[in-house]
Amino acid sequence: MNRWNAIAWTSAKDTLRYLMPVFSTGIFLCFVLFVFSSLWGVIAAERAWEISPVVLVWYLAITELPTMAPGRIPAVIEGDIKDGSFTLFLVRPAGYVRQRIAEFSGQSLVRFVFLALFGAVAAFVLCGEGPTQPLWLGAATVLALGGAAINIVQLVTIGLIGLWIGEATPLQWLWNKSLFILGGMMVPLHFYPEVVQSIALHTPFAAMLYGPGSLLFFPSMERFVEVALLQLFWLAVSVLVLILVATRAIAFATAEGRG
Amino acid sequence: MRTSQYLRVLMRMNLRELGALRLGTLLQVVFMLLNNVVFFLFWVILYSNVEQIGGFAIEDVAFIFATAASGYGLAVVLFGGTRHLSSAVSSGRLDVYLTQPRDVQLQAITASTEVSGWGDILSALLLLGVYFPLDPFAWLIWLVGTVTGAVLYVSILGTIQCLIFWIPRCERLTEQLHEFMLGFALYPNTIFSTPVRVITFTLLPAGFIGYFPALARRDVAFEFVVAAFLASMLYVWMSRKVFIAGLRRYESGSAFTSVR
Repeated sequence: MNRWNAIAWTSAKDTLRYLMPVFSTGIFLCFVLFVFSSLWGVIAAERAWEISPVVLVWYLAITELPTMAPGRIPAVIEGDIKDGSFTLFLVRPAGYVRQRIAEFSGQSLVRFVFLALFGAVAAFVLCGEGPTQPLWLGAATVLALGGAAINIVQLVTIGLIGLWIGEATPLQWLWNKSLFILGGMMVPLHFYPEVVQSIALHTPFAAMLYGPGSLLFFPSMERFVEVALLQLFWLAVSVLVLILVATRAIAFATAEGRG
Repeated sequence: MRTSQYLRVLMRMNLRELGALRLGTLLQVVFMLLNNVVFFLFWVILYSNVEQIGGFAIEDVAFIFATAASGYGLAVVLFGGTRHLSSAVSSGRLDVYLTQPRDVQLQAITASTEVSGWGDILSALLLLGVYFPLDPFAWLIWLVGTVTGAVLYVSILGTIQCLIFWIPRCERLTEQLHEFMLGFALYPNTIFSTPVRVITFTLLPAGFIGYFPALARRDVAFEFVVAAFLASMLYVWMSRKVFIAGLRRYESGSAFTSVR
């Protein structure tokens, strides 16, 4: 086991030892699913829009995973910068960014598994039935894990940007809401007006949320492969941006003595 | 110094903090404004497919969203300490307020301000400007709804935070109830089933915050605003009673010295 895997494994075990925060997030996920199942139920009952509340609730249970599993990463990095931990890492052989990413990956994986269970139970209770094609729900969950991986990289980048602007958390609010809207978290992108849809499909957000969720509407192996490749592309872009920002952040911290 | 004077000085100091315009402060305001605007786009997209949801058109939902956001914004700007009351109790920081002549609860809830609340207020103004630019009645109801909403937020969140006096280490639970309250306030109440609606007018009275003012505006019915005002007074009274009962159980966290 290399050192990054060891760090991720230790972080996962830590998260498993203290599960209260994960359960708390799980309960919030159930609340969100409840609110939206009520909303879709009313819209369907009024026949205002031809939608299937069951598919939409299961869709939401999938699209919530990449957003909720990583947690408040920028706040952790912001804390590291403010209390000086960030600069302490500069003299260690293990780089700050890689170590933190390994930690966040380990804990996010545990959160992802538990949240998937919470989401599945809540969606089943609220809908009274499972998805029409359970196999594709599994495939969508795998792609949601890919979405969570991209989100971790992007959130670490946002956290590091806090080194220049002082506060990373407000940036995360905006980033998350952009993810919700342009990723089609609550309403699938194919229901969006065409102009917004075409903009959203050219952002990484669509590959992170709508991509996995869309398998519930358009299940096919071609679609699965297409989304997986799109996620690989956006993961590569996100990593490149992170490397760029991290290099500058470390140079900035070294020159300014930040921390 | 009387309580009203104290609150006026507090308001001035909060404005001064905003006036300092440090980059971090400014970013919190701007990003919260953008955060709310982007979130409201969800409703815009949804309403591009439907005309009404639960009897509410998009301008009604915009009014609910604006009133709930500005009520919350005003609450955290003036009484930002409310959200941290449970941690103040568990860490023993109430000791500091117990030694001072002013009301302990008032000091604790006014101990800090959240500048991001200004972003909430600005986003409400923006939404009203877009959907009700020349409707003085809507602006009047929004103003009253914002004040009663802020009072309701502070009293309910304050009451929830008081759970810490009876249930140790329940900060996560209080945070969760806080999120439920906010969640219920932002959606039209008519989408929920009757048992849930009963909860939103009793245990977590989010229905009085956005929904009642929206009904008052839509149906030109002042009784909804009056009901929201009376509810806010009732919950303030309840919040006081619960805090005083909880304070009797308070034991110092040794920030200064043991109280009992």
